[in-house]
Amino acid sequence: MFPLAFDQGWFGGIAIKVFRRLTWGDRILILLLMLISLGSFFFLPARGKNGRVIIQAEQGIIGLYSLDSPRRVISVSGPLGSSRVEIGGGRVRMLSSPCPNQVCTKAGWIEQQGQMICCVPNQVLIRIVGDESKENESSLHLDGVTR
Amino acid sequence: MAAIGRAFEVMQEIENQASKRIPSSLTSRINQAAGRGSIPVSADFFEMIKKSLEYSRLTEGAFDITIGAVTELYHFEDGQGTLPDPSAIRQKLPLVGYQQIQLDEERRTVGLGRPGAMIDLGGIAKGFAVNKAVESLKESGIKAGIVNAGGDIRLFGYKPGHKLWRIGIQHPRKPDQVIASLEITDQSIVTSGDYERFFIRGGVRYHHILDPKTGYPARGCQSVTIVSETATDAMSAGIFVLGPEKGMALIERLPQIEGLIIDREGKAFVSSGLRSRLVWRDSH
Repeated sequence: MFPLAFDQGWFGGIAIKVFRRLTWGDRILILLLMLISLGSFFFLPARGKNGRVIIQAEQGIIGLYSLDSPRRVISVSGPLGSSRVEIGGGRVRMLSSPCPNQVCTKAGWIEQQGQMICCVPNQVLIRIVGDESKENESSLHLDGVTR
Repeated sequence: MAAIGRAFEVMQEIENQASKRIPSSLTSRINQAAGRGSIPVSADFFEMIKKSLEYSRLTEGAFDITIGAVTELYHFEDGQGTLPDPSAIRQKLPLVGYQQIQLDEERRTVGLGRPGAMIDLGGIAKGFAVNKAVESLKESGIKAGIVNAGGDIRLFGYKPGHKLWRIGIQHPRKPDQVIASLEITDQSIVTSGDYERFFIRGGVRYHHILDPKTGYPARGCQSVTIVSETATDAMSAGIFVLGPEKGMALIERLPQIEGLIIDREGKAFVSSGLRSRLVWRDSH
C-alpha cells in the first residue's frame, strides 16, 4: 500500500520530492527508526490471560484473582456503598458503582498488565499485574496455612 | 537452635500426657479411673483441663472433652472410620457432660464422675501445645517466630524488614487452595474443618467434630477459623458445633476473638473485626 500511495495524488508528489532531497544518512536513520518501532511490539506486555487482578479498597488489598478465572462478580464496599467488579475471560471491569460520575464504569474492560481502573469517590482501585511481577509474588507468598 | 529444640520438647511432653493412644498417658489413666477416683497430674495438664472447662462454659457445652466415649465408636484414627450403630451412640451419650469433671486445685488431681466416661483432648491439646511452645521460645529470648502444629498457628514478632506474617486459610472443599489470606502477628490463627478426619458412607460425610448433644458430626459448617491472642482450637471446634448463626453471635460477643465461618453451603461469614483484614483469593 505504501509504495502505491506514494506516486498518487498531490501527497504522493510531495512525498517523492522530499524523499529525493534526503541524504543516504537520513534514509538509513528513517529505516532504523522504523525497525526499532516495529521491533518494540515484541517488548509490549503480553495481552490478557496470564495476569492477576488486584482489587484495593480503603483498607488496602482485599482480593487477588487470576485474570482468566471463570466469570465472577466481586462486591467491594467503600464509603459510598458497594462497587461491583466483574472478572472473566481474561479481562476485568467495574460493573457498577455508587459514585456520581461513573467514570470507573465508563472505563469499560481492561485486560493488559499495567492497566488500572480507579474509582476515586468510592475508593476502589482495580489493577492488572503480571504473574511474574514482584508485587504479585510477594502478595501470593504465604508463611503458613491454617487448616 | 537449642531454643527450638526445647520448644519441640515442650510440645512432645504435652502430646505424651494428652494422647489417648498412649496407655500410660494422663488422659488414659484418668479414663481408666473414671467413676472410681482422681489422678494426680502435671501443672500444664491441669491448666489444659481448666481451659477446656472454660471453653465448655463459653460455648454452652458445644465444646466438651468428655465426648471421648462417643468419639471412640467412630474409629477416625484408623483412616477407615466406622459408622456406629445408633443404639451404641444412644448408650454412650449419657457419659458425655463436662460437669462431671472433678478438679482439685490443691492436690492437682483430675477425675471423671461417671464410670465408662472418657476425655478426648484432641480438640484442645494442639493449640495448648502451640501456646506453650511460643512461651518457651520467648523465654529463650527469641524475638520473632511462627509455631505451626498441623495448621494451628501462632505468630510473634516481625519478619525481617519489619514485615507481618502472611497466613493462608485452607479452602474447605479445594484441598490445595486457600480461600483467603491475612497479615498477622502476636496472634494465633486456628481452623476446625470437616475435611481433616472424615469418612463417607452412603454419600454422607462423617467427620470428627461431633456434637456433644447428639453424638453425630455437627452439620452447620464446613470450616471455622478463629483469630485470637492465643491458639484456641477448642473455640474453633466449639463454634463449628454451634453453627454459623449462634457461632458468629458468640464471636461478636467476645471482644478478644475474630473469626471466619464457612457454612454447609460454602457461604462465608466474617466477623466485624476481621472483615477489613482478609484478602480473598481465586478459590473464594
